[in-house]
Amino acid sequence: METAHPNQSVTDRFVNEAQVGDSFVNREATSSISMVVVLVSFSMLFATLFLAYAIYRFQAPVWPPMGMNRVNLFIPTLSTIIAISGSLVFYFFNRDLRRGLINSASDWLNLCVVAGLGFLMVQWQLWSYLKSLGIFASSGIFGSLNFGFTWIHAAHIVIALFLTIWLRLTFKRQSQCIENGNDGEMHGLILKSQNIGKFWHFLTIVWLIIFLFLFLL
Amino acid sequence: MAFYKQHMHEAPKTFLSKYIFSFDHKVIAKQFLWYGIFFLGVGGIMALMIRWTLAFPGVAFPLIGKFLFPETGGVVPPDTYAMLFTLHGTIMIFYAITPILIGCFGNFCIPLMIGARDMVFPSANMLSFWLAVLSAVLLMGSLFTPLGAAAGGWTSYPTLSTLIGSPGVGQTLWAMAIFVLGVSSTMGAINYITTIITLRAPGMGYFDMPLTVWGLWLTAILNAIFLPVLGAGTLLLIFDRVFGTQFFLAGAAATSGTGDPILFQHVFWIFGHPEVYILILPAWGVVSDLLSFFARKPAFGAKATALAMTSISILSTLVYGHHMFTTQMSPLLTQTFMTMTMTISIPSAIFFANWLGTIWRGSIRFHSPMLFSLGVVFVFGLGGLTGLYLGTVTTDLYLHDTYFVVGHFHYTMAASVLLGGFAGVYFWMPKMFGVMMDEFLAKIHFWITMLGLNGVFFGMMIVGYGGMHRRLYNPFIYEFMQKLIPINTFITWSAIIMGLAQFIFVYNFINSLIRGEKASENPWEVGTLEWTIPSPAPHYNFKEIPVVKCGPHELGNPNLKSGRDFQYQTEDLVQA
Repeated sequence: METAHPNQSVTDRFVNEAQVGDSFVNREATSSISMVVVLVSFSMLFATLFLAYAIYRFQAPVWPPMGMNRVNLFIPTLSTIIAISGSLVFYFFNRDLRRGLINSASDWLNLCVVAGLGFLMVQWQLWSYLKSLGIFASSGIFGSLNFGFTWIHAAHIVIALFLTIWLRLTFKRQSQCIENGNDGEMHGLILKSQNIGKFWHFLTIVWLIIFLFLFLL
Repeated sequence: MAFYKQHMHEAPKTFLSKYIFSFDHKVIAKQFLWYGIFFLGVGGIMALMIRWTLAFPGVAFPLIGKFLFPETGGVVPPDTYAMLFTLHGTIMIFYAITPILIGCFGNFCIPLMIGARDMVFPSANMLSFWLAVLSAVLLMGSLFTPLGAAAGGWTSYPTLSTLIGSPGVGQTLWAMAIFVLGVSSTMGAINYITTIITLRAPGMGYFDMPLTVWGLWLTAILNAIFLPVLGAGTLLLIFDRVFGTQFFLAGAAATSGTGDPILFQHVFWIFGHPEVYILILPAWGVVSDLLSFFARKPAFGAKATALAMTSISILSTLVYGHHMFTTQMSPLLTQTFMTMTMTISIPSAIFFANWLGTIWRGSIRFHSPMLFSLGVVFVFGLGGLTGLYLGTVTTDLYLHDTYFVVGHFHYTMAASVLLGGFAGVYFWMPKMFGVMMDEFLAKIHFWITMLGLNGVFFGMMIVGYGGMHRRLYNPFIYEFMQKLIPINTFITWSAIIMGLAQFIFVYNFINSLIRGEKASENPWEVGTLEWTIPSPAPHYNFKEIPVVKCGPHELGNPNLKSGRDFQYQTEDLVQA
């Protein structure tokens, strides 16, 4: 004798949901889940670097090591201000995009690109400044940490910048579709922007940790 | 479940879009299968060269020796020997087992077994495969550099892997290859995790998933978390080698402040121990399902098995220090790591007992997938038990870096995974390619492989216990080792037999593709979702997304009156 599955009502509910299909909320949830996994992976990469830093720092009898000078905080502080500003700008871009304020969102997006480029230029200045102090990548563990960590972070900024530029390049075409009432394009653009924004915010947090441990403490 | 509706896309028409740059998870699975089988052959030949050198020192390697090593008359030179054991380990772990168990079965089974039409991110899936190809090109390219390939062992510990120990480009290319492969595998992992969470068929709860999917899911989670740790380590190693940083240089090599070579070992094993489970969890999952399918019984304690695998995954992240007992670690830490390692025995014992419970009094059908699954039960039992000696500080201090370690990890990571992989290939061949493999040849393949691998790996544990260290070019220059020459010769002959047995598989595989018997929709008579659709699976998988109404192991139900002894997952559970 065949009987109903104990979860039959649940099953029915899910069938109905599946028939409803492509709701934006569900696609947003899928996108968020994958982005959480992406950010966990990136976090583990940087966590490993900070673990290494902690080991070097705790093993060193003095810090900075003999013959090395502390780095002047001006340039790292400037980087920090730009990183935080970049995150805020991306937040405003996402907010206006969700509200459908296309022109304003477009302006914020331009500023995001500027912030990313500005951050990289300041990092270049930081590396030049370190060299002027006689600190090179090969100057013991102090130089290795300063250059190695900022290189890896900057490489991620370059990825984020490329993504933002790609967003900028496709924004015009997609925003025209949006103005013609194409919800699918709108949803796609919002998801893309949210994910790139999360990556920017993540890199800002990583920079704040680098700033705290490598330059402040 | 099924967060959104996957549409049926047009079937690709051009050769490039159908076979090369395909978005279809099944095609990508087959690409990973070919890739893995190719590297299984490359790594296998390297293993035979290593074994030949140990059994017959100074004798030319047969057939291809004179072509490969003309300057020594066909004898494997010492520096090449170091490259061989480095590349053998690297290739087998990262380029053979990973693509077959995770790349192939992950891609093929996950969408089909959860009732989805494809992975959630098909383009990332394709990119993942091509990054793996790029990584393989980097690794194999290192063989043609002036000083040859990497020679610091598959673990590549500094200082062996720094410019001091390995001055050539080969080691740098090794590190770059591993980094790129890490990116590829992480992309795959993100896809697997998201697909399983968001695209399960309506009605399929987590415990309604087949255990194969559980194994692959846990593997993906471990991959996503721990591959970046290895990525960070290899990145710093690349910096040391290319840009002159000093993360892993200490003492006289470092000019001001000091790096730490041991740090690389920590980083490597924080990744490396979960990696053991990353490799074996898919095989465990496959075997847990196949034992039930071919014993014609529900999987005994299926939920407990899933939870035990989850517990092992969690515990695997806390025990890495048992690889480093001899690095002057604090005794407090060694005892902690030892205790944590021993606790893994508890969930391991649970699912092992569940395996035995599954086959206990079952109506066992000894088809080839079942034989290989039973083989996994046997060799994993041996591998697991011998691990206890290496997880215990007192015995590990004696056995560390001996062939006992090599034998142990080959039992767990090579034998178990290889047999699990073969079980999977024989089992899903009908759904993958629409043909059956020859059962007689498959059974011969199983028995010769089983004999060969036990001769190799058990022999390794014996010589290791006798004091033979790994990675020595010619251990027999030491007088006390000379008594171990006969058993080393036995191990090598076992390896040759095992290697030759693989030609049976290759012949069977290719012969089946060309003129194999056409497979029916459900040749093994099991109820998971992939067996509800035609063989081979059509490009869109499911015409209608299935609704799941019962678990994956509904076999041997005495209330069934339909003339079969199993139920499909899409059918209501038959009760008295």
